[in-house]
Amino acid sequence: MTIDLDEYYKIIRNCSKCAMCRNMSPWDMGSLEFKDICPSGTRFLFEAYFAPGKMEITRALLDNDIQYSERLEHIIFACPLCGGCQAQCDEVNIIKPLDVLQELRIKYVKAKGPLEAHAKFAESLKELHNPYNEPHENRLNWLPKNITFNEDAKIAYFVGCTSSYRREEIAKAMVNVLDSLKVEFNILHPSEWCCGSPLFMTGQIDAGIELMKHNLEAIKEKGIETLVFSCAGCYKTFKETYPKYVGDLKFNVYHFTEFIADYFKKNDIKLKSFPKSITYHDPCHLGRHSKVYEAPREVLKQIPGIKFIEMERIKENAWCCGAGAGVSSAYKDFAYWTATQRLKEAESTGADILTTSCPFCITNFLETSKISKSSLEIIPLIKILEEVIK
Amino acid sequence: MIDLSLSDKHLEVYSKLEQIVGKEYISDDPSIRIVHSRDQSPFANLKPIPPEYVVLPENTEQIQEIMKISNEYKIPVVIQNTGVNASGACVPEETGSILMHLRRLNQIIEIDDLNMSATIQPYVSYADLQVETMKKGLWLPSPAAPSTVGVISNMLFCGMTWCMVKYGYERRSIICMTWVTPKGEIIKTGSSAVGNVGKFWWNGPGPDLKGILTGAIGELGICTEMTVKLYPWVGGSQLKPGELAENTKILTISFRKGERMIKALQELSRANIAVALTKMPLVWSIMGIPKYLETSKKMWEKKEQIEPIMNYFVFVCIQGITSEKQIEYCEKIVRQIAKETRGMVIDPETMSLPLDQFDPDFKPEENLSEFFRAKISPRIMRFKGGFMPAFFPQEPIENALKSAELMENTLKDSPIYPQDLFSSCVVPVDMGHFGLHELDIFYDQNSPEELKACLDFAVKVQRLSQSEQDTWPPHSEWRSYHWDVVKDIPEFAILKSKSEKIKNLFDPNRIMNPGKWLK
Repeated sequence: MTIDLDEYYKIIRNCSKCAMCRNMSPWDMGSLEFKDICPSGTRFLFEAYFAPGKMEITRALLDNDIQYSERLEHIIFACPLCGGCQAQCDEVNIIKPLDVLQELRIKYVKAKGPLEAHAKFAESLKELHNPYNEPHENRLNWLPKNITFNEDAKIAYFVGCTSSYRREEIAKAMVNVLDSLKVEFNILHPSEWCCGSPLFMTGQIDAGIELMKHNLEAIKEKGIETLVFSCAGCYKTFKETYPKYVGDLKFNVYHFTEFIADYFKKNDIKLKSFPKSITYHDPCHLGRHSKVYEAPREVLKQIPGIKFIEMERIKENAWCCGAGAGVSSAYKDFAYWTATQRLKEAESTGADILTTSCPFCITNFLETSKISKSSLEIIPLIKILEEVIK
Repeated sequence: MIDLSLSDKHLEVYSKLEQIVGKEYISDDPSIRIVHSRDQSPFANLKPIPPEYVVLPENTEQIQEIMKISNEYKIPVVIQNTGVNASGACVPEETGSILMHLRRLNQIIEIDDLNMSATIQPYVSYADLQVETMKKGLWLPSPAAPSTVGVISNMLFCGMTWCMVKYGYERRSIICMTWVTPKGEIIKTGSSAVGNVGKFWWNGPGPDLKGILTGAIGELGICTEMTVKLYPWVGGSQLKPGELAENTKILTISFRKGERMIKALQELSRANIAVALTKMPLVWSIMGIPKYLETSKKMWEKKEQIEPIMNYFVFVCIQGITSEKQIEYCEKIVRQIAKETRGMVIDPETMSLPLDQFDPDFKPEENLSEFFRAKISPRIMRFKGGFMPAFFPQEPIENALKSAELMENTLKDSPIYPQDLFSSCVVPVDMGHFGLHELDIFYDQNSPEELKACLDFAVKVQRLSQSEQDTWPPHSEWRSYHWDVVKDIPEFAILKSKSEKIKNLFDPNRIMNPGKWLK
């Protein structure tokens, strides 16, 4: 179940305003330059944008002390819901600011309707089952001709909208990797619809539930026992969000990094060398939201030749790419600003390549790097795997 | 309902403030203002008052200009820095205030590793400063507060540390300050007052002005830059959660009798071997850590049975500042003093702690590492939702038992929440010249009855301490409500009169953080 703000009122009111949620854990801080954890507060500076401020705003809304305003809308939605605040709060308190913020968005949408930018992709999702206003029949356009699916396979690859329409190279790499590893797999198409993440994250919960119901039915019909994802957002939605509404899923879900890490453990695979220095960005949906931190690192460390360098803010302390939770569609500049901070941090490691395991993060980093003229090469982790497994 | 109305001259004042800080750095939106109407303390929870304007100045010059506007219109100014551990000092007491948030003044201007000092702006926290200075083998001891506390505000509020036995009160580490007075003038203290001679000496020409400026809870102006002393650090540049720093050892000594524990505290202080030294109820080590939440609850329920066996614990932190042999030497002395005072040094490898009966996996080092970078304070707040130090005297160390007895007796007579209190901690200061005693009281911020009861209890126990044993009631973080505590004592009437004169001299329009130090 999701939380009930009215029932949660007393907990919100007991936020001690200790400010642990403004920065990464003080134990893990490596420098003053890369210590911030909250993109929203760091960018917009007013206390209202940090989690303690948002808790106070939630209290004030529940008490009818304040009304909805343009500024309040900005405070509630100019936030990538990265969960950096909650990761820090979990160490010292029980406030759960991320959960509160998600409920606050639902409350806002019920009262005022979705933001214009969010309503736009909701419309596309309703009609075309993807947020990009692309024809549903084009969802599989990326598929390499050499790939065939096993209709009887119990494993399915959930492609996701971003890999289907915007980052086709990720979808291609994913099926090529599975094929190279001789994994018998299927896909859900034409029954694969958006997982609903953009709706769940922007407070449009009812529409999200409709997509969830459809996808769960499609998986049931195909008799799928294991679902593998190349998108951190889709994975998180299945793993964390769906069970809040339907209880435990009847099938297993794996992010590809978990799937491959597990495969490497069980099979002796000879990988090609990849002689580059690489740093890894933890996508919020995979890391903080789903608690998958080690699998991508295990995979990278298996590849011969790689010099793996960590950034200062990693795992629970990772700085968000800035694109998620409707920020990229509604506040593009803010999404780019947040990504710019991460690119600077990645550059400071001296690595040649920034990699990550989420197509949405990759897209925002690529777009931002063009503007900020970053020297980094940005390569999806699944693409690196495709190259070394061939 | 919280009053969010605006004053008659709102637009005029807003426009002038906007010209100073820029459009992006000012707001009068209710959602921006409301978050500054209260903090976790009982003071601000009982009567939340939002500011009318929230401004984010960038530098000293902008702060000066804002002060001129506030004088012109006689508008109260409340300063908020990190807002942590400030117990109501950074929220308005009056409607119509300007809340000046110092978030944009967040730079470490210089670390002078040769002369062991750092020059910082207000929004630099202890964690920020330590991260950068520990790389250079230097540190400023951690506050007994979240490490998110701003260094400057903690110094000005006379914050304490676990390391006061060696380094004294935090304010003793102030070297130079740049200060904007309520009238918008600049005061520089210490050697920075005389040009470019450097920032190394605190007793600048003539009287030491920092004495006046500290302890006034922001009523005498805004410190925009401070140079602080740093001290040698050998614990490594990367601290690990739940582990002690490098070249560091913590010894735990248990006593059966309070008198022996007091003797040990005095002897350990005088020996000048400890970096940190405190008598702390063992229960503090576990309280509030999320993974021990259930254990903490069980302990809470059995408080009466377990407290006697967990009360007299002394923690001694030693470091090999000059060599590893220094740790061996210091440990020998600690063990010798423990033997002489009939204390038992607990060896975690072979002996069980009383907490083991509640959780055999409990590791005391998880929290003792907090001596160096603290998270424990917010955890403690969490236990019920809020906490305040109800009794906070500084006194000769030998008074600690009498004070503890006084508190116990007061609690026995009190109809409120005795079950929510645990025994106090004692931290020796300055090689044992005196000690700081702290008793915390916990409350639910949702309960006005509990909030009010906390304040009533604090006043009662402090008044008793003053009248029955001449204990200095609050420590030097003097708050306006303390004047009530001492209102029948003639000497305090004189002190208040002198304080008023100082206030009027600095702040004739009484606009600077009103109601926090003086009523």
